[in-house]
Amino acid sequence: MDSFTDDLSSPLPKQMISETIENSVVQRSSIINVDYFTANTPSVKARSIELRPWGRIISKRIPAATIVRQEPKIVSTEDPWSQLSDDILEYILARLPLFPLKAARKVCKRWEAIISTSEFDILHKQLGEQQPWLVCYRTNHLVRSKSQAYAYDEESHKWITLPPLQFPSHNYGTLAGANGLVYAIAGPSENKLKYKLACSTSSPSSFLETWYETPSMGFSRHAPVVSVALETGPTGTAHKVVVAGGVPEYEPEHMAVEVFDSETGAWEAYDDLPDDFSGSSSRLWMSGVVCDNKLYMSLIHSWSVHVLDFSSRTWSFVQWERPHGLISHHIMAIGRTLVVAGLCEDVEQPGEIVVKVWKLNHDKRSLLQIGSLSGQVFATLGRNLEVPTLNFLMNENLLYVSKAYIKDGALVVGEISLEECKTEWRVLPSVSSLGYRFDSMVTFCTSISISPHISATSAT
Amino acid sequence: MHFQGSPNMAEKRVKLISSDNDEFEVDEAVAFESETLRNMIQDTGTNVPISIPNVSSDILAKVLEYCSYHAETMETHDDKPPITDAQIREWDADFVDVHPATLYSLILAANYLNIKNLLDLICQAVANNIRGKTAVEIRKILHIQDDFTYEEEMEIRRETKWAFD
Repeated sequence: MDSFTDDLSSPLPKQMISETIENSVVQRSSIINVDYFTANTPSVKARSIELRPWGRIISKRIPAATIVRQEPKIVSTEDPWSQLSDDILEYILARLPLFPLKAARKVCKRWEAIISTSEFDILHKQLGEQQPWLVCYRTNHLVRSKSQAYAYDEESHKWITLPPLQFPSHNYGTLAGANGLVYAIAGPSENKLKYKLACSTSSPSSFLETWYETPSMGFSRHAPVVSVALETGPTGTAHKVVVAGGVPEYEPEHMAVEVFDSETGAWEAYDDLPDDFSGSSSRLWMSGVVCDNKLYMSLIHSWSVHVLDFSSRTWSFVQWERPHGLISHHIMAIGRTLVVAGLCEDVEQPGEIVVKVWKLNHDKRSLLQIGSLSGQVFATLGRNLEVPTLNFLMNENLLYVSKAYIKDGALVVGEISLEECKTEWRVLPSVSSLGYRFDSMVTFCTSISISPHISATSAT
Repeated sequence: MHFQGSPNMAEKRVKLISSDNDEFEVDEAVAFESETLRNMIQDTGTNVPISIPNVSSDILAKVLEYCSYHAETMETHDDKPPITDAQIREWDADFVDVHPATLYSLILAANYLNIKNLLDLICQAVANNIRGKTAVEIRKILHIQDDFTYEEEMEIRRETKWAFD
């Protein structure tokens, strides 16, 4: 250890520096790992010299005559954290997610005062984790005021009751969330049906306060496929919203694909969906996602995948090997990786069905299985899956699975690890036990931050 | 600032004196990780040792360890592969794996020396320590007195009702 200068090219600079200081000519315990409570006793002898080309730190003791000895501080009894300035304390607390912040509010009066300011809300939005929420919106057709939205907190495994959501219309048919925004296709207005796409940003103190309207789409759409893509450009983050399908078939151009670009604030029409989608161009029959500047569209109940390249503006058919026993599927994406989830016949137990998840291999031709849902967790979705249709919702690497059209609110979530090619499943607490009776339920994901100051009735 | 990156820069050395009178000598680029030191050096040059009266040797050593590593990550060497973000994250996680009291001292030092990345790193580490703990546990870890009256506590409970069972 006396030849520490040989360590010049050590890949572990931290270790090296601490070793250097530890093993210097001075009899001194480690500086780096010293317990500040008790071991703050300065030495008197010379320190080491370390010969690192970059982070070279040389330290030496100044002649004893100039040393002003300080009493070692015993900080533990002085409550050092109360001596931190409000600014720094705020800077720490603003990094806590929503539920831990609730606990922090109860620590002492000072913390409570800091967290209660509106400035804190703004800082929390900047520094706090932009957690992707699963939002579940339940409508009551008779008593509209009883319609209610809930957000699921992944950290505490609790449902939060959101303040009333002011949706731009009574039609909640299409809601999508991505990248901190919620999109709703709203309408109709007058006889000539026109739907508007609205997106919302949060304000510090309320969730979904303001809706922004985009110009009208070229076509009115009912239950189209909506996918949102985020692009980081020189002027910041822009989003593109792709809308396909849902146009009544009597319209001559009912296969049109429209894309809203937040940069230009305008809609742009792209080439029509391929003929395969004719007669099935609604969310009930097709599934689509924007991934890597391409729009992938497929028919849920067959295996016909087409891709629209936004740069070349052309459609092409992709020939992926169809997974064995596939009954129905949805295509989604985690970042730039395409993911397929679907219902399959169980190969080992004929007559049984399972949910399987695949990712697209690097060769862009074949699928690799990364998850399988069966057994007890699968059973919570209901045994009677004669109409084998499930809703799939991807939220970053979390895949939410629920029964479509059925209102019991059973939800299963799969946490996908693309690198390890595995998925861990668990059951979410039921939403159905909460609140008033409801007639329909819409789920979507968003990463809009939820203010710590929302106060609504309890939902756990 | 205009001379930053010139070939002579790497040879310049800066002397720093801690509160308990240890002298540290580092490359200028390492000291420049700190905005406070950068301003001082640009005012007074590198000939005069810079006194840092409110940071002890132990903490200053740790701060300089951080600065030198992060100054190094900015360097590109032809013979060595660049340090990846994952390696830096791992190093940072290791760096803040210390006693809360050390974290506390590091916050004060990083704030005084104005090293934003270090302050961010430590504040996040403290937040991570608090996270998932109850108010009672947080008080215990950080030695904070509960100064709420019963009525006040009930009031907070009422306000934040949505978060409780």
